[in-house]
Amino acid sequence: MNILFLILITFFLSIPSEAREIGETEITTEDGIEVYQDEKYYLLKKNVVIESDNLILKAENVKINFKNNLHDIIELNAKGNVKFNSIEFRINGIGENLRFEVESEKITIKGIASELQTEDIEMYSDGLIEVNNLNGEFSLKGKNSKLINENILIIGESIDGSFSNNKDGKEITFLNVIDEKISYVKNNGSEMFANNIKYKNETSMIELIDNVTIIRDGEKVTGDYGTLDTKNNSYKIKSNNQTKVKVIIQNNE
Amino acid sequence: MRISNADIEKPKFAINNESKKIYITANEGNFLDKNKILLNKNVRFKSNDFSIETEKVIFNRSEQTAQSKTKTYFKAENTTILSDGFDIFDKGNKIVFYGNSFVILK
Repeated sequence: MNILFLILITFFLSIPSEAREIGETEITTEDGIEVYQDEKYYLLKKNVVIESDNLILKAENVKINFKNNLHDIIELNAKGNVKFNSIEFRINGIGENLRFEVESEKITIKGIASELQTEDIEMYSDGLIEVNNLNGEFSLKGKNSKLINENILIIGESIDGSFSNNKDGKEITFLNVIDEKISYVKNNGSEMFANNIKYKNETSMIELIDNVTIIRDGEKVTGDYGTLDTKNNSYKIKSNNQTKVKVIIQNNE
Repeated sequence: MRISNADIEKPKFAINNESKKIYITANEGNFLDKNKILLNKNVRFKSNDFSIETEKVIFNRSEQTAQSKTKTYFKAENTTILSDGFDIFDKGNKIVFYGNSFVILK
């Protein structure tokens, strides 16, 4: 008998007879599944692929907590080279570990070179990225933490904030950036440096605390405390008693 | 006339758990020792929550455990699992499915 024919028969016989239909979730693993019925979780082991109509997730291992039955998922923990992509929700991410809490719609990605990208926003960190889709709160912790959207670039070791949805996409309503070395925010042509940078949408004020530098229109101003009003784009800088506010007019020609 | 090598025809056993009972049936059974029985052909585990079907299982009566290395089909509410074998222990609380496994959640 033709060897190729034999190989093809073996291949097709090894394919599971059940295939995913619309609305179903398909999971494949290379090293089995452990189901703990009393504790209500199961472990998916080695090269796990989870695929549904809206999501594809790949990881080395996955733990799923369920409520009553195996399909009734309340939390998913993926470990090792995690990658996921949701075309419908236009969100994708990578990281060492990922946790997704279904009810609170909270997603946490941990590890070096973690990324979370949505239609409007990109988040990067070597520590942790956490986003709560229900209340819009987000948090990035660790080295190389960075948030980018169309109008703003934020860099700092600790970035906490919240989004609200408006007609033009997501808008940052609150922000608190802390970095012992220096935090950085670039917005509407202004570059801001400080150990602590805060923003509240309701006051339209950016507050800069300690080691403050603002660079705008070729002008560099340094001090110890500053505020920038995003409504009229004006700013004030103060200094402690011992130091003075320093202004450098840069020649860009 | 069909001659069977089975020690037991249509054996029936149960794993007793505090919260549920798992019934085990097969076409044939052969004693491997005092406690271990090789269940053969159309082996089925059934509880209120799930069923497992396979071809060969070694069932340990005293330890209330079961082990199979043949293709396994698990079915529960809105869940199907296909695997290369399984272990049941801890009185049915823990089920381990071996090898390349395939799950469908509805």
